[in-house]
Amino acid sequence: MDTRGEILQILEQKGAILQKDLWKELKIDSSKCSRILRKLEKEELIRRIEVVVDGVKTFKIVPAGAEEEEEEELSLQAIMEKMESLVGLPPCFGCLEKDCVTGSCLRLEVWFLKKAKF
Amino acid sequence: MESDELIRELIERVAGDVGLIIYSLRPKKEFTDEQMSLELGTEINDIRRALFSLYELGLAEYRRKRDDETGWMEYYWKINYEKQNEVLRRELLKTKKKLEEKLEEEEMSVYYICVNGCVKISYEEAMECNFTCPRCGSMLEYFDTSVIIEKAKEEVTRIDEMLKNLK
Repeated sequence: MDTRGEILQILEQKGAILQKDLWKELKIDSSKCSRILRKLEKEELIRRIEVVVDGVKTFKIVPAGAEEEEEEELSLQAIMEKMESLVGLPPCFGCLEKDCVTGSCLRLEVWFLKKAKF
Repeated sequence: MESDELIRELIERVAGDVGLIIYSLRPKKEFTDEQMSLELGTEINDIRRALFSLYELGLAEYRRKRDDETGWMEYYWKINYEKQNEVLRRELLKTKKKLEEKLEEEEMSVYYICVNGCVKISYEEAMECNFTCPRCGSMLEYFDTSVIIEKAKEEVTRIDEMLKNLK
């Protein structure tokens, strides 16, 4: 099986994989992997979703037909219930995210809104 | 909150239970991740992850040395207990700054919220959607943030107190 086929098979089995894990698993170099993935995306066989893992940008690779990220579908109320443990000091205490934008931090927003409940 | 309690809270957030256990052990001398893994009976990867989190916080440091026999790099770790208050001060100041920025943004704008709790959006965005929720189509209501703002301001005062109590 060629590399393209292997990628599609991996996706079928796992549902999703990070690009940085994919090329290691396939034992090919990262630029070759990236090239193939771009082509597969163009052919609408996969989708690449930009994500940040341990502070490094990479792509999450999913099959083209996969559902949107669950996170995006959640309502504000559902997010608040999910982040139930977000109490005490604001989440900024201990947050290692560099160059964050205060206004677009979901965790800080949820912490803030929780104050309305008490 | 005492500084010991604060540091526990901080480490638990960043380096988890494993980080907290390592920190509480107060090891007298340098140690390798492998030694710590054996001592705690915890997976070496969990130990490494916790140690690097402590390192990112500034609470641990390491030196690398090549093992003469295996040729591999060994990491010798040390916990920086003397940095505890410095790290706490930095984190508290950062938290205070972010909270004040958030407060400023909230005070400057007027917000609307979906009656079903789908979204919270600004007045301008709400106007664009004719005051109906872009998700479920229900009505958007004016969201009074004054109580939250008061509570968040109390939190700023609380952080100030914590900063004052750090020796």
